[in-house]
Amino acid sequence: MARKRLDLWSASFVEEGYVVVRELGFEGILKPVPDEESAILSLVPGTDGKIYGLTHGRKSHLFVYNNVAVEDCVVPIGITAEDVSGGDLFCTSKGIVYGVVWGEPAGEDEPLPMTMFRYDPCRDLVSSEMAMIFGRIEEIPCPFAGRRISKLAFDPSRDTAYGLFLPDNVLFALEADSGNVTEFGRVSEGIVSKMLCLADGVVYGAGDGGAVFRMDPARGKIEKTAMTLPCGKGKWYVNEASALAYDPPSRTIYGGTLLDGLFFKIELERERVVCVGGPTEQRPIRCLTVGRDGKVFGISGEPKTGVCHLFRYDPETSDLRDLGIPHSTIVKCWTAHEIDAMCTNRNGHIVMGENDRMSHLLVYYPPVEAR
Amino acid sequence: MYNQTVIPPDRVAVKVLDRLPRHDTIWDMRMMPDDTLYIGACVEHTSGMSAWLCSYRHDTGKIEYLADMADVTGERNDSGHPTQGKIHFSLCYDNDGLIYGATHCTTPPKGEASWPPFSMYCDPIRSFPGAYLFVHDPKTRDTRSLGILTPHEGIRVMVMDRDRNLLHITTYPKCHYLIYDLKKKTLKDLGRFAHLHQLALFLDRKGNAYTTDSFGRLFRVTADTHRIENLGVQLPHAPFRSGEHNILWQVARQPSREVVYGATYVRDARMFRYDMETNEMTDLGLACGRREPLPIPEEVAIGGMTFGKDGFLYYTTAEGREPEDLPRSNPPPPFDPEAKQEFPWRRRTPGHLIRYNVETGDAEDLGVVTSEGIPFNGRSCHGMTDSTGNIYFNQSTGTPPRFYVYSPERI
Repeated sequence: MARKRLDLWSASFVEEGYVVVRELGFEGILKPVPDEESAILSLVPGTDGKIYGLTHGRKSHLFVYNNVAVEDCVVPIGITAEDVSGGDLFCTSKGIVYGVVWGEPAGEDEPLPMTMFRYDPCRDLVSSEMAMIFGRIEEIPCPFAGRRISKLAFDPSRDTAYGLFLPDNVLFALEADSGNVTEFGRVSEGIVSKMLCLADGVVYGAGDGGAVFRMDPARGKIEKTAMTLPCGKGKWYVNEASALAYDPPSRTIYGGTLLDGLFFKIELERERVVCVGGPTEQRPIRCLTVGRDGKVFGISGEPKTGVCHLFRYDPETSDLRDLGIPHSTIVKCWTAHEIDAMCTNRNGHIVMGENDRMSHLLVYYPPVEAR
Repeated sequence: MYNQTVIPPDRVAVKVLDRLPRHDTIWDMRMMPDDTLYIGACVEHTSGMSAWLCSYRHDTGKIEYLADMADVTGERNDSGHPTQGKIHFSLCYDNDGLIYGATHCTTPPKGEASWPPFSMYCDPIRSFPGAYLFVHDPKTRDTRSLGILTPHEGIRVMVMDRDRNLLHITTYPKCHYLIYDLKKKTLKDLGRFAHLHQLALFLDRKGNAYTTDSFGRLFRVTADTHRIENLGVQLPHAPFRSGEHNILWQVARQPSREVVYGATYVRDARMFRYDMETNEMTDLGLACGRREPLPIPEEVAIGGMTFGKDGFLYYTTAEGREPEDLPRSNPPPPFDPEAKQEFPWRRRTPGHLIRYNVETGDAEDLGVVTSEGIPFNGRSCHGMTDSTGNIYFNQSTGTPPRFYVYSPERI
């Protein structure tokens, strides 16, 4: 049956499953993180089952989202730094949350303002509205000496974060506890993906022309592989991965490209890259997460000039589907346009972080499959 | 409760844009200092048509059809894209007497029944190219495009800070706040400020601009620093509401005061008084002094708000239920003046004109508005006053588009 014409106006919103929007504050109790400070850079699951998030803007806030039935709330923990334009978070095996944020230098010859911090949730309880302790963010010495870095990939088995020094594309490792930084050399000449992925303790990335490289920390050497990321014919020289996520059971790295918005998978067993396709007409793929059932969820959308769509890839059926624009009327009417962070929580819900002047968490509840 | 007498025909006159028989809405009217009324004749429901800039002078009674936005923008109505079918709450003038305006979206591409803005936002064929800024010179009658300010976005509201040559703009559907400097030709995007819907914006004497977010929470954009400042006040609403969707809709500045009177958007639309100097918001209740919210799904519409030369606040109102399903035939039903009843599916009261004394709070229902057998449906988005005290208010929807002129008795 054809849908009514008026239905067309909302037909682009997510309808399979359900989306709930959360302000970055305990609804009705705590003042949320203000506009212009709420744009979400990073979301990471903590060992306590909660989701930790980092914002940027005039001030950068660390917050925690406790997505359980009796205590479904966001609690802003504190301010990490002011005038922040980039940063990332990771959570160690001991449950300590580390973060690094940076701003823009005041002048051409000025150093990059960077702040490194840690937050220990074990000491600072975040609980219900009856007993809420915000905790304390502890600034620690920043080991990057003002050098610009990429997004970080974290290996909880070694409690080590990996990243690239930019623009030189030098791969480094940061030991969380000691703060020691080890450099492994330049991954490639030319354009390099600003994104790394950990797979079974090995670091993967894409260098010049989308050529996939790996670095096994046990050996400490960067190795080229025969695999390259997919792209439109002739565009290889500017090809980059814009999102990567690893699924350990299938030993598959899922990824998306910046240039064409293509979704692909790197099958590590077979040492091959499979281009699955473009989930929407927009590019790039901005973030990815693997659900607890092995389905992959991602966000596709042009920054600023487009509108983000949530998509899903089912490895069982090879179905790549545009689920639509994340929209919710709970707890308020909201349509997300810009999303750059997502992760999967302990219940298999997909948590998305908006990256806009007024930003929220959007929690996607995947549908229950019919038998 | 309402005064059911009809306003005498020598007091009210309907003006029909009969050369645009298939246009169906007026989303903009602006009175210029020389008493020329500029009108944006729009197309909401019929595909493949473009908006027209028109003007009217009451002393001559003449309607002029000045510019077709398809010609001004160079966007053909059969381009496959949604057309430049609206001029929406954007007409304004500068100190040189030039008229500025902007086009807006949602008119469907030719041959299509509807156009969903989000589904087609990035579609290579069916995306809206973007709203055009345009300028009309009344001396030369030339209307020219100044280009698209932001791709894919329509311009919902635009007001001019004439002292600084700045245009304060809000966009649709992504609800961003833009400031365009006409001299420097620079555009500043202050970012998103609400969910989707935004319908009014006003300036104080210093050039600070005021509007609301999706919850009717008032904020201002500072004149010099262009910072968004939350003001900590919210538009009035019924106690059972949270304020969501209760956005700024009507605004009329009280002459020589830093005070505006206004109304919120449909569903228990309430009037308010806001003092820009003291940041005080006062709930004035529903139209005609009704204090209790109407039972759902009844609704109150307040529109056409303007201060008269006599110092009274004039506005239009109607109560009634929204149509369950607005017919969207393509083309729409032909206008039949003999039928004397438009929109028979709308079970709402006729449109009334109210005169409100801001000193005493007394609202006087002047009666039912009808003229030449064409009843006013009570839905108006703009009220204007000319230098001789005539009150103008549009009927937002109606084919062909029309507006009414009320001449108050001299007090």
